[in-house]
Amino acid sequence: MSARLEIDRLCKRYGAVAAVESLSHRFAPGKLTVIVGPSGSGKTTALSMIAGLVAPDTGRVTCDGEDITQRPAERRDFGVVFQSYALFPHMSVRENAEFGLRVRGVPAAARRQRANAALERVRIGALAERRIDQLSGGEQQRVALARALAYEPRVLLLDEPLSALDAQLREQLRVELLALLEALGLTAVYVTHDQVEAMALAHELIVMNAGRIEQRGAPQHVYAEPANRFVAGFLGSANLLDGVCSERGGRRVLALGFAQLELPNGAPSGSCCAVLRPEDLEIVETSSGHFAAVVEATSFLGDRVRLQLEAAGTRLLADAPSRVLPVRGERVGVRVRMSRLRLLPAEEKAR
Amino acid sequence: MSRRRPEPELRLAAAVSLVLAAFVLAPIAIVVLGSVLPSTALGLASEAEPGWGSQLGAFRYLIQHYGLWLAMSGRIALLAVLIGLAIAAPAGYAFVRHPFPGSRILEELVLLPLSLPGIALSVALLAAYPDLRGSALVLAGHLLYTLPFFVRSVTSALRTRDIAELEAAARTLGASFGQRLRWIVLPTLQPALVLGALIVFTVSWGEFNVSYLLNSGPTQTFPAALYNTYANESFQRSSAATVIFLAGAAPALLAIQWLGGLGSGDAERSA
Repeated sequence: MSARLEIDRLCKRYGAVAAVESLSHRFAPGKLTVIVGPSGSGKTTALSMIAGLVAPDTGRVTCDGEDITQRPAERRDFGVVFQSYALFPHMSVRENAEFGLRVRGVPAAARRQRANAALERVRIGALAERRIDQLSGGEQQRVALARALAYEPRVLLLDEPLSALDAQLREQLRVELLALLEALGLTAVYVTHDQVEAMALAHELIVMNAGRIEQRGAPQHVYAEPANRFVAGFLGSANLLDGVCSERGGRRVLALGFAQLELPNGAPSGSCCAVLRPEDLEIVETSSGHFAAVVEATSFLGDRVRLQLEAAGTRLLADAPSRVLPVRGERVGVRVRMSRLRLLPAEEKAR
Repeated sequence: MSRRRPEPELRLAAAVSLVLAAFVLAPIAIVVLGSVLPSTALGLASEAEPGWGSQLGAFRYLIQHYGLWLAMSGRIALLAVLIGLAIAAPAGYAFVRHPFPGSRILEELVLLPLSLPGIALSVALLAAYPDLRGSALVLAGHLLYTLPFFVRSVTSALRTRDIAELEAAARTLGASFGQRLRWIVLPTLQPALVLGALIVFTVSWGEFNVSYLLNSGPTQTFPAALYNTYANESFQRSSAATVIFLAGAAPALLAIQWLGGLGSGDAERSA
């Protein structure tokens, strides 16, 4: 049975600074939940409180209905993978993997067998006798994971486990990690500042900022329908454009300064903020777009070209397929994929 | 492949090293030879020469007259090591794991005795502990000299390995405080404790100033025996005393060299 992990109004202050303010969530049992946010958003503090390494000022942590807020880390039966791995340098790979079993008094033979199984599971069975300082970064990451899994923890907590690795290895380990967690059906919480990693891994995403949850939900949902400017700007790239919605001749119109866009009926009137992803702006003939713009800069990204555009004094980012290579200074037409346009209330601007 | 001739700079450096080594080792060689040869053989005039027949007589004489002093030195050095371990390991751990306001300053203050001349330290000790006498007072002096170093090697070993994080990892894996001490903290400290113990032994074994000034009893530490023999006895006897002194210090010194070599090897492998 996958553990039901829940946090209820967790708070932690350091002096005058609130690291985490009233954080509540029911983690999906057997799934990977990713907490993502910029540094200082409180995500690592939140994870440490779940692990039992940091005591919350107020609030509760429960697991399978049991209040474990006061229970120290060593009696929670959770597995934790640290950002720096925190492997024991005076022990071999296998001794590291055996540690959780050793402190639980598992006899040597069974301990060895289970540690070996955990090492096999993360594909480093062959390195069992190595010393920690003889391993590469990726191998150390695998040892840390095996060590946290060997005693079959109720919950797995991961604090930026891939951030010390280079991009290619990170992507490979991400895929492996996801497959492993799905096979184990473990309730897992993963903290990262990397929004690409967060979206790639998460069953459910929690976006944190300044100690609070800004938005939560499936990554596709949070990306497509950001709740506010912070989420829109933090997850992926976005053009955040101030505009005014009004009624003109029986039609709803969004005035953006450089363009007038027709909106479906029902959109509220008044000032608003339009969110447009770069991939929602299509480069077309000058005559056929919603508006015209000048290409200020281009960056070739392999699968696509990111363009920086200028339209009547407003800067915009747009993605074009890499076979289309507009040149700097060229005048192009831009069409907005209206179905993707999202409007946020204008008050959000103050944040 | 033909062996290349060494560069001239290297040959010069080797020559300088050899001269320096000879310069340092010559007095030791003379002392060692002096302990078994009559002093005339080394061109040194001496009063009360025991003659050719008793080369080992000097050693016998020293053991008879200064054997208790030798035992006292050994006892004090061992006690300095044991008490040092018992104090420095927990104190260093506390400094690193449970810092309190001003603990960093206290950590620096602990080093202060090292910068004091022996005479000042001795007077301070006498004033502070008027009831301590004899070897207990000497031991207190040695502890004052060696504890700062011991505490330092503990704190730096714990900080280098980021013991707080290793312990946090051990906690999440289910280790109680006792299990963390046994399996994480002590193994992390072991090299520093072994090296520290050897250095403390060597320092205590060779300490003269404080011991000589503080000791009021008839039995003194062995460095005082060295002083006595050089001041009052034949060159052969004082040389023999020096050889005994070096024999006591040599195992610890060699072990320090060996461990130091291991340590740098570690550093190279992990670099």
